[in-house]
Amino acid sequence: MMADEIKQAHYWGLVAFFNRGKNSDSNGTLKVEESAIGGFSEFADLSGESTPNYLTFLETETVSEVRPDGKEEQEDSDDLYQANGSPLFARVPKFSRREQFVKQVVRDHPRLALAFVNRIWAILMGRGIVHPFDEMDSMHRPSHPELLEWLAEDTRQNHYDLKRLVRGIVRSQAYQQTSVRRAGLEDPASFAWYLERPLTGEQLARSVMVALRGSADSDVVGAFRQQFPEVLPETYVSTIKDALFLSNGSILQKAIEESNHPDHLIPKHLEMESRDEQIRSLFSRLFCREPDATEMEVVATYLDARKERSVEALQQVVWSMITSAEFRFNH
Amino acid sequence: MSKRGCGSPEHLIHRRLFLEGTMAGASASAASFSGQFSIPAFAKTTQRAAKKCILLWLCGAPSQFETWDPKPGVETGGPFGSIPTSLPGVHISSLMPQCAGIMDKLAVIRSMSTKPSEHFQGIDALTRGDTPRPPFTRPILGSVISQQLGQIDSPVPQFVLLDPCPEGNEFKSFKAGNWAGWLGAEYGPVRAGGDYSIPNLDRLDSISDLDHEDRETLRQFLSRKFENDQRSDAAGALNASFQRVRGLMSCAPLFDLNQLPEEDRNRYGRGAFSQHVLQARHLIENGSTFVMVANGMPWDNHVYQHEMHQMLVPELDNVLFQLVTDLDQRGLLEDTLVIAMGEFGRTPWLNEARGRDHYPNAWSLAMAGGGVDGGVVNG
Repeated sequence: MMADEIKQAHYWGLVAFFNRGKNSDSNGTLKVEESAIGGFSEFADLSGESTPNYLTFLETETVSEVRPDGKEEQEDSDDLYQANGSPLFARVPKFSRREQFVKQVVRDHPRLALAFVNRIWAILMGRGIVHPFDEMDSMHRPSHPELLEWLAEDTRQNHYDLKRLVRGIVRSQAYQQTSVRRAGLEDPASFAWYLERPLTGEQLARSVMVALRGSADSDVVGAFRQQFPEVLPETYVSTIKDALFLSNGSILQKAIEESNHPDHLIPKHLEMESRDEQIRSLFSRLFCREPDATEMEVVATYLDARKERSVEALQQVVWSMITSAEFRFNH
Repeated sequence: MSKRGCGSPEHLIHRRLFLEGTMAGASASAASFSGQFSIPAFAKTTQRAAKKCILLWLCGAPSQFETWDPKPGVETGGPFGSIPTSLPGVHISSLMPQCAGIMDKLAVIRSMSTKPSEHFQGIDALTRGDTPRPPFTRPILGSVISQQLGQIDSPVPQFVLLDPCPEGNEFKSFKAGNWAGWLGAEYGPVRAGGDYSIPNLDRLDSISDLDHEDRETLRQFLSRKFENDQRSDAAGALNASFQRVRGLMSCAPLFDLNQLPEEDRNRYGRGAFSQHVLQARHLIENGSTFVMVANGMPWDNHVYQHEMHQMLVPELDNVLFQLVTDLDQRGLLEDTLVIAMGEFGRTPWLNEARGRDHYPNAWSLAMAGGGVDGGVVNG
C-alpha cells in the first residue's frame, strides 16, 4: 500500500487489534496471551486533534467495541474469558481483538480473493498478475485485470478451493507454454512463454544431492538456503557472490568429492568404458536430455585431456553441469 | 544563497549537462542517464578524462536542516546552530565543522525538489533517473556510468556497492532489485562490505589454477548454449556473474582493508560507513569507475531526529572532509565526482515524536570534484 492510501486510523487500528497480547509462561510453557481489557488510546493528527484508536482495518467496517468512559478503570476478571479453556493454552477473551482481526480478513475482505489467486498464480507462473505479487496497490496494476477478477470471483464462489484454482491454472494454455522465448516477445507480463525461474536454495541443494547421490537427503541445505535466500524473487538477480560461492566455496566442492560411494554418480560413470556412453549418461542424469554433437565433443576433449586424473576430471565436468543455467533454472 | 565565480561559459554548460544527468528525477526528464551521456561532446570529454564517481548514498534521507541548510532561531529549526564556512556569507549546520572548512571545494544544491515521498520510489527515481517504465527496468546510476565510462575488460570491478550488509537490511528489497536493468547483469555492482572483504575470493587448493579456468570455460560453453537456445535473460544474468569470477579473484587484495595504512583507517573513523568510504577511495584509485557507499538506512529519523542526526552528521562531516581532501591531495579530485545525497529531505516541522518526516519538495545535496566547480551554493 502506498502511504497516502493508508490513513493514520488504519495504522493505529492495526496496532489496537494486537496491543492486548503479552508473553506469558504460566505453567512453564511460553505462550502469547490476550488480555480482555486495556489497549485504548488516542492518536493525534498534525493539527493536534485526537481520535480514538478504533478497531479499523483497510477497506472494511470498523469493529464496534465498548470503550470505557474517560478515566474509568477497567477491571480484569475471569468472567471476561471463555470458560472451557485448557490449562495447556492461554485463556481467550470472550471478545478477542485478534479473533476480530482474523474475521475482518477471512470473511470476504474485498482483497482476500484477489490476493489469494494472485499469489497462487505467481507461484505457478513465475510472476503475479499484479507484480510483485505482494504489492497490490495503486502503484502496481494487474496486467490482466479481467482475468484476475474472474479467478477471484470463481475462487470466492467455490469457498477458496485451492485444488480447483491450481487445476484451473496448470491446465491453461498459458501454463503450458514452452520456456523458449520466441523472437519479438519482450514483456514477461504477457505470459506468452513459460517464465524460467531459479530453483530456491533448498531445491538447488536437494537437486544437487539427487544428481550426485540419488537421494534428496542433504546436509548442505542450510548453507545453500543462506546463500540463495530468495523464494519468489521479483526478478531473478544473479550476484557475483553466488558465483564465487559455487566456484570457490568448500561446500559444493566437498559435496562433490564426498559423493564417492560405488552407487554414486561419479564412481558409476568412472567405470563406464565408452566415452560416448559416459557423456550421454551424464547428460541424461543431469539435464534429462541427450547431448548434441558439439557438447559430446567438448566434454570428451575435456576428459581426454585429463586421462591421468580421471576422478578430478569427472568431478569438474559434473561441477560445470550443475552450476550451469540449465540445472539452475526450472524451465 | 550565494554564488562564487562560475568559471567559463563552457563550465556552465558542462555543469548543467551533468546536473541534468544526475537529477533527471527532479526535472521529470524522460531521458535515461545513458541518454544524457549520449550528448557527444560531453561523452567525449568525460571519457578522455576517465571520470569516476563516488556516491555516498545517505539512505533513509538526511535532514537538510541539520546538514547543508540550517534554519537556526526558528521554532522547528532544532537545537543545532549554524556556523560560517570558508565561503563568506554561507553557513551550514554546526554539526559539520570540517566541511565548513572546505566549502570552497563543495557544490551544494539546496533547491532539490523531487516527487516521490516514499523511500523505494524515491530511491528508484534518484538512482535510476526517472519513474519506472514497465516492462523495462532502468539501470541504476552506477551501472550507466560504469557502462559508459568504465573499462569493461578490466578485472577491477567498475561498479562496486559497499554496505555493512550488502545483501540485506532495511533497504533489502531495493538491493534485491535488478540494478543493471536493461544494460544487462554484467553492469551490475560487485557488492562487498560488512567484514570488508568478499567471501570465496580464493581458489580452493583442491583444484589447479589451470583447471579452475578450463572448468569455467566448459561451464560457460554449456550454460551459454542454454541461454541462447532459450533466449533467457535470467540465464544471461547467471552467466555474466560467473564470467566476472576470475577477474575479481585476480584483484582480491583490493578488497582487503587490512592492507591500508592504520593511520588512514583511524583518520576516516572506525565505523562501517567511514571504513567503506576509505575503501571507496582505494577502489577508485585502483581503477574502479563508480563506487556507491551506503550504510543501511540510518537516516530515516521519524523519531528523535536531533539525537540521531547528532550521531550521524558528524560522521558524514568527517568522511566527506577526509575523502575530498585525500582526492584533492592525490590529484584525483578533478576527475572524480563525489556526491552525498539521500532520496529526499525532511519536513521543516517536527512530528509528535520529535522526528522529521519525508519531504521531497525542497532538500539539499552536496557534490565535489569531477569538473563541478567548488564554492557554489545553489538555492
